[in-house]
Amino acid sequence: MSAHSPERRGSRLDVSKLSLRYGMVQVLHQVSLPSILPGTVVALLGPNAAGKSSLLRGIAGLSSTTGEVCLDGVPVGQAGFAERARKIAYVPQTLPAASRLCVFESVLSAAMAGAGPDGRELRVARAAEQVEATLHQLELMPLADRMLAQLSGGQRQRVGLAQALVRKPRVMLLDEPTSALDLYYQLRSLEQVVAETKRSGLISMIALHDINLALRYADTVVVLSNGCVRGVGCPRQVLSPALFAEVYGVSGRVVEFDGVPQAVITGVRAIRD
Amino acid sequence: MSPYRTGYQARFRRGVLIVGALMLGVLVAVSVDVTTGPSGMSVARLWHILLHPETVSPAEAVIVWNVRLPYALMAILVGAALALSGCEMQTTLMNPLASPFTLGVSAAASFGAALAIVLGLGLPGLAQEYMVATNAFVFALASSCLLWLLASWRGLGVESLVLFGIALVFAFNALVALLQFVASQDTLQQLVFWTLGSLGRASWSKLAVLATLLLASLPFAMRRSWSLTALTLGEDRARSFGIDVGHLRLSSLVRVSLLAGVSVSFVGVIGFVGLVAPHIARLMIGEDHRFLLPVSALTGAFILSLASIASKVLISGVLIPVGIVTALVGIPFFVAIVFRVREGAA
Repeated sequence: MSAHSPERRGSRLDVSKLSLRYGMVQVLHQVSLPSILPGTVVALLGPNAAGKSSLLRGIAGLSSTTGEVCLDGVPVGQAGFAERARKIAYVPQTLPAASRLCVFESVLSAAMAGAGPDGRELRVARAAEQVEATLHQLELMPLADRMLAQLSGGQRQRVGLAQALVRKPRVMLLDEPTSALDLYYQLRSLEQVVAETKRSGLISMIALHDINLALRYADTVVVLSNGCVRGVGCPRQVLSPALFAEVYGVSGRVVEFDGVPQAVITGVRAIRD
Repeated sequence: MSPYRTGYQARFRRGVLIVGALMLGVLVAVSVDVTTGPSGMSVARLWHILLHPETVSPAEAVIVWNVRLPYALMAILVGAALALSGCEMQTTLMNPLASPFTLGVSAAASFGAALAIVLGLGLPGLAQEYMVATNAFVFALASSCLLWLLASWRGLGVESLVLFGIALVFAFNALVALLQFVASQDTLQQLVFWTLGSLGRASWSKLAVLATLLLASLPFAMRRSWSLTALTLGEDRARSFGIDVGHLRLSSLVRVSLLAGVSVSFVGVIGFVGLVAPHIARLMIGEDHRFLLPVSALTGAFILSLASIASKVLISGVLIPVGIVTALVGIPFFVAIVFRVREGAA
């Protein structure tokens, strides 16, 4: 089965001088990131309204931005919206709607949507195989025939992840993919994302609130605040006591506990503006 | 083969089965519809008249070919057109209460027809007999464009659209009432009869136009069936799959205004089929639009065919305008849907 054999499809992602405004409000100020290489898990951190979602939407092309997003040096805007969405899968923070589709159909529609009409029946059969492989991979097979309307929020969030993975993107942009999940699936889902990222040579960029999840799974963290990059690099180095104070307004530092890096927050420092 | 694929294939087979069953149902309903009327006729006699037209009396041939058959076929074509329009509107506007009737397309068409009937206003260079239908169509198209402009207007959610549609219904109804107020006795009667919605205006040329339109737009709708299915997962998510939601809405509203506009201009206002049929189809088949679109159309055809039969037999000897029958039958359905939606939201 195709999804179980290693299939490298990685590309280098470059983001330079990305700016975005909603009306009068500038939400991203010329955000540039160092080149992100295939197989990298990037955690996007920052307080509320820092621009995490906006950055992801900007890279996905869902919000109109100035600046450039390139895959392997080629601007992604050139190929058109549908082609860009084939390469860059964005998973919105909102859960898939509780519709009268079964899990299998909903993931199949994600695989088929935005594709050309040619050779349709053949492609449906092939897409159905990929759907099955993806549901296996994410341990969602027991839910395959259940209606989305019958699932819990957490289950729907995991189906949302399957809808992105089945499209076999080169870049996955996940906006708070663990917000509706219990402790077990927070870890399990991110483990699955990391495993797929390494196996297929993807780039995963994950907006997170939980710093411990970032410390545990990210190769690189990007810290945003007020639409500007406040730190990029190795999680343990970037997440310094100074950064906790400046960006989050709390006293904190990273310690090692049983070999796992943990953020320890000791108190609120000041009211953020 | 794993049980999950089998589950999906079972749903697929079920879909094919439902489409087949509905086709059979429509065929039976049409046969009954044609054989129902002031002068009785058996189904066997009907087939005889259809297959051996040279052996029957001219009177019988005229009844079947010029009266009963156009009437019965108009019922299924209009039913299919309105239901397909309603289905696409509900999906693209993401609202279970959207339909050509509830969002003002039919009311706009009535106003256009009223302008032609009462004031004789219409596009220049058209014969009087086409003016009513053309006006109805132009106004239906214009109201859909207005809906689309609002749907694509940033910041206005699609939820507000139903409210706007209701406002359109009231506005156009008020305008029609105003025209009724100033109309002469003669034109008033004509206008009231037009707005009631009747299949009696069927003719072979109208059937040909509507059938061509339906056959031409269904493939276009089917081509977008995966995108429509994905849109039921939410607009943001559909866009993340690379679907140009604005374009999808525009292309479907073009189809809707053509189908609904032409239907209404031919037979007048026939409510509730466009709202109720897609919901019955959704209950039977779910949201997979490869099946939902044809099943909606067939369900609409079946319902309006039944309504057509009912319009002949409810009061014997009186042909009730079919628009009245669908509205009366539609109301309990409508209430049931509202309750279902409320339960779904809770």
